[in-house]
Amino acid sequence: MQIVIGGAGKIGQALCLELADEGHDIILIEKDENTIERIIERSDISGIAGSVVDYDIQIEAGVPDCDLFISVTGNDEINLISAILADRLGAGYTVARVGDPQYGTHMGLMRRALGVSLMINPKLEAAREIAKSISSPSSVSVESFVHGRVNMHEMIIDECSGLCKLNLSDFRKRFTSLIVCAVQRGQEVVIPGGSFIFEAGDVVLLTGFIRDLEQFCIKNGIAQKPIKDILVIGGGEITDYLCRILERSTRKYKLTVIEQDEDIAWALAAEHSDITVLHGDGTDHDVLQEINYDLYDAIVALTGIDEENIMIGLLAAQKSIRKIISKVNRTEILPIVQDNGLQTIITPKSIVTEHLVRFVRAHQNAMGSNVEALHRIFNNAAEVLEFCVRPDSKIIDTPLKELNLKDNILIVFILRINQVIFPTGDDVIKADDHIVVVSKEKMFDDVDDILSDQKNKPKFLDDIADVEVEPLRADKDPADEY
Amino acid sequence: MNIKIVRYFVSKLIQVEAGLMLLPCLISLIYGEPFSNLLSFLIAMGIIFLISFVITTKKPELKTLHTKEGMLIVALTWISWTCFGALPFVISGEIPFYIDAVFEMASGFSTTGASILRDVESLSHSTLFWRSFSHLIGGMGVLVFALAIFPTGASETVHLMRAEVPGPRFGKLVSKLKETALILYTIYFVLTLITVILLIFGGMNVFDSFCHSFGIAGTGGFSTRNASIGFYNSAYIEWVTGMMMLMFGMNFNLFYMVILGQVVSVFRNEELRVYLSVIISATGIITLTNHLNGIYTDLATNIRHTFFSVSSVITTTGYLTVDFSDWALTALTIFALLMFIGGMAGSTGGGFKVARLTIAGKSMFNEFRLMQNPRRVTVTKFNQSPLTVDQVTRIRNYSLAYIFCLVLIILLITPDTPDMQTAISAGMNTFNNIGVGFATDGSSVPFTDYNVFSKIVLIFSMIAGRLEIYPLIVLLSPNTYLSKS
Repeated sequence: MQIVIGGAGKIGQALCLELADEGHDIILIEKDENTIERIIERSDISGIAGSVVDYDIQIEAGVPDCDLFISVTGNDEINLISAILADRLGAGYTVARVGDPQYGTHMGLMRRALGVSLMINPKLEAAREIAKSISSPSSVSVESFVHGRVNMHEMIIDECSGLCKLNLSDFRKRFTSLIVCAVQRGQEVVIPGGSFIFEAGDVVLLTGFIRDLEQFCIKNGIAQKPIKDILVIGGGEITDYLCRILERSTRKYKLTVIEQDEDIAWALAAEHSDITVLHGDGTDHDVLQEINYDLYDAIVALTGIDEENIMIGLLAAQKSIRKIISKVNRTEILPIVQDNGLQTIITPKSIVTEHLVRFVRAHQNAMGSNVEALHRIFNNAAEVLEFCVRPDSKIIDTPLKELNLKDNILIVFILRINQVIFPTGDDVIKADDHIVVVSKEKMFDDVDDILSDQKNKPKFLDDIADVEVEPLRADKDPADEY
Repeated sequence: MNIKIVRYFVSKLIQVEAGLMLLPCLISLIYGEPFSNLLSFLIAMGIIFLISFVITTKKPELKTLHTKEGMLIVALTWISWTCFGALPFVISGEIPFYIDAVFEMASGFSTTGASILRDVESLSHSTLFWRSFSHLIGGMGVLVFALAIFPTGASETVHLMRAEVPGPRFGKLVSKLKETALILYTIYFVLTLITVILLIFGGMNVFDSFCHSFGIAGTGGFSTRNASIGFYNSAYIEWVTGMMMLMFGMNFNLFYMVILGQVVSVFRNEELRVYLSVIISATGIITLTNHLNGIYTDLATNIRHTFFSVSSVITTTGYLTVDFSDWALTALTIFALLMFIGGMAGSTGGGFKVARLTIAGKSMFNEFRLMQNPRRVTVTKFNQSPLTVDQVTRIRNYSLAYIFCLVLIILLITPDTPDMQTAISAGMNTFNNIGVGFATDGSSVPFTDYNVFSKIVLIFSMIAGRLEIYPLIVLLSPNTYLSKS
């Protein structure tokens, strides 16, 4: 696809790298020539120095013929105006990064009125991510599919858990309704077969109905009671969004927010009557002790400083807080904390990049590819893809066990009209089904790409009973409503 | 201090009062009263015009009007309307003493309804009408009325309205002040007319219907009968009166919202919810105490009288159907509390106002929360919107001013009262613009027997209560008159 990206900030750079790797034609518009130079050195794109709202620059960048225009400068108005301009010039799709909560409350209306295809708000996305993670506390991270009806949970197997040293076939017998999508062991990611044996420290990506997942967690002593008391440190915009999302959620939470700035604290207290807002320094141990921070179920560190957030996370880990979420803006320092597994790290930039890559894929769909949704798991080591199966696909009407799939691919579930099927070898994919696939290989464009050219033993879950039939519980993802 | 503009406004506004005196003249002609009645109003009008010309005739060059001038104009206008409005009573000889007449008029304009008359039924129609009519004018405010009928271009007049409209916050309905005043008065008159028609249906005669409707509309309480509404002994009239009093105790902006079709937001209005829940719970509790004490054996009669009394007291109207002084002490205490609460902000009711009470109460609870956690940031919200610290402070200070004034008034009249209960009752009744009192010898006590000093105190008490204290403080404060030198 022909893609024009405006602004080479954190998100812009990450997008350039990701999308160029996938083989798209990228033209970057950025004011600072040095930045362009630096990015061109790292990825195969071209750049134009200038303002993204400049008509001439947009013409020069080929906006009228591009398939996708993405404006991700730091300024909402510039993003919006350039997206409107690009839309009028004839860009296929336009995307604008809009961070101001004032615009954020009526995104649907704004989008229609302005002709911008997608308005993405990093802070809102981050808040949604946090809310998701709070609503399923036992997993390290959660991805939701089919509008939150099916979740994938990432969990760590610890030594005392009954799962340790269990092989996958036995696991399937014990938990017939759950599917192990992928396992991360050390730096390696595997899509496990029947003989796979779980070890302590494995990070497992599980899927299944939410109720079954919860039961699984309880049986294995992974989950305790749901999270209720949440302490948020820092009262910025993400906190504001988070409060809104949690307020609308069906489960009731008790939120306490510590904010250093009195005006911000006041505004937050004025906006949300049900939360407790404290004025103080959330990194001050005395302040934390005064409110008995060790009694909270979850601590979310959302201050503006990455290091402080990580420190708060470490402090909380010492007190065995059940759920610790820290916001880290700079991906450069991620490796330090990523591995300890004690805290969930939220990086708004990565979330947005992921969303946009998914968006790009989704729109490639209209032009030949049919990826509906894309999630990156295990720090980009594997992908979870949602495909729409077209009537002309090669995989339809063949029982799964007869399908010849590539290595390291697993069909996780099939979505047929209103039911979710966790398939067995006898199941058949039909036209217009949606299927979700886990793969270590990246860059699938079509569902037929999962078929292998060689004659290999197919990989699917042949000894799992069809769990399906009942209509799905509407396990509402609170983020969806906002 | 722009004294010229103050003089100009006051002079114009008392002319309005003279104009309004044409109405009782008309009544006098309709009922074929002796010429002396008509003459008394005409003489009064003459005097007013003469005085208004003495004050000033010229429109001043400098038209600047600030809060201070606004307050002063409001205070002076109310006092002069009261003083001049009393003239016809004295001239016609129906209320021989001038100070009594002024008391009656202050009670009328401030919509108190406290009277010095023992026998109102002997008064002429024109006098009764003028007395009740003062409720109608005073209820919504004389200046708001003047603004509605006068072509005023000056945007500064907002200060006048702010000083006169009861309640902690003054909000315009539409962007133009004159239109706001017109809308308010239209709603007011239409509702009054509805009341008149409903009362006529209940078998009340036309003249009484009008007079009582004025009393209901202004939440005043002057009646044309010695036994007040109780005279008719009709459940229909009592329910109509009770319900209409409640309506007039509501914020008029709500009616405007209903007209605009925003019914949902009306019911979301926090003040309305508090107001209604106070009424419902008070009625419930008092009905229960009456039942337990065997005052009424019949539940329907019990609810009817209780509801009427609650409605009459909380809206600060002061109409009576029964003498509730022999009700249980719990009931009487609840009545005393209702007197304090009063109507909603922006209504014709007096008292402390439901809005202020709600905000002050919330602010108090926030203080409790702060005790538990001193770092906590608390925000007082009203109607879902947060209040600034200043706004809350203003309300707290008003509460203090309110209590000080009330205590001062009670203190000043104590030499003239037989016991504590009478003194407190008189103070609260006048200051909250209610007009009934429970004293040792019955609940409706005419204020006839007070001496001149006490009557003057009570006159001030009524006007201060109606104007919510501050305009009178501005009037009485020497700082107001200090010039630059």
